[in-house]
Amino acid sequence: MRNGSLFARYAHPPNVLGHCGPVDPAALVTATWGDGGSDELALVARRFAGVWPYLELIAASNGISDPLDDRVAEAYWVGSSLLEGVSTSSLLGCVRAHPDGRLGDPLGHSRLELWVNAGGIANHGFHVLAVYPWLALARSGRREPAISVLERCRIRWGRVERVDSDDVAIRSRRLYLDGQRLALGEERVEQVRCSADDFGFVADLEPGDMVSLHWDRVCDRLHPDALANLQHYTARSLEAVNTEASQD
Amino acid sequence: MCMSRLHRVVSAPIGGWVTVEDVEGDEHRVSLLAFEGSQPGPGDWLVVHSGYALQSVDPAEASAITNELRAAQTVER
Repeated sequence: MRNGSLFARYAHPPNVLGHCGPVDPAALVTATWGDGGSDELALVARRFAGVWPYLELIAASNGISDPLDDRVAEAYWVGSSLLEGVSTSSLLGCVRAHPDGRLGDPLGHSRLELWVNAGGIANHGFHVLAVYPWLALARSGRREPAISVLERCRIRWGRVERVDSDDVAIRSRRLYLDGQRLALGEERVEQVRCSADDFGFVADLEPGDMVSLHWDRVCDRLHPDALANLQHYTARSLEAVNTEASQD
Repeated sequence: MCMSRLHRVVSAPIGGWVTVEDVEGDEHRVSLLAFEGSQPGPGDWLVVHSGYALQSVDPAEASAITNELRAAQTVER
């Protein structure tokens, strides 16, 4: 598996939906798993303008030359100890300069600096909760579609219950608002899909497998360390963005 | 990863959906379910995120932001 494939398996589902990256999702697939070299993939990856600044930051903070190194992508999407190598000040600089920061807070309710200082990390889950407008919208009373978007956009985990061709029943915990506090609710079963645009990443799923999900697509089979990291950094991100709620 | 993007309304909304055009000229159909404010019309600029229009943007501000984003993209490429 060459560098870039871990980045691509999580970037592909929202790309297919048209939420990020090149208009034609085939560009990512071809650059990652086709005959193109690392330069071609880097060009495509840069067009995921929301992701790229974090990959560069995590790589630079940990002395890794390639932002598409799978260790960097894993830290960004799932979470790993590499996140501890990113200083609070450099993370704050990254989110302040981030393209989402320019348009991401229509209500002006974000407490980004507070949340970064409260344990924020250079991770997708934290960005979704802290930088995107949806949490502020949900807390202002416009809970739907805000909570649904947060749920689909964050990287989450689930246990496979049943597999029926491309349809997979997953047991997972979904986000909910308890007053102003965002939390994970009780486990429940939901239907997700194994592929996006007829392109899947995980073969031979079986009941009991633990998997990661992005935009209701299965992205990876999680080994125990990755699952623990995803759970740990999700909890940390929730704690950070609940700082405001705790103080209110 | 989804990004907040600026889109210009192409035609009048129908049934809670509106067709918009991004700064590169590609058309998209986005939901108005999360939109707050008076109904947008052709030529209006909207902030769109994850397939939902969120709010209108003043044309002058939209122009400033699109110029800023284009400049950043030029530097990246």
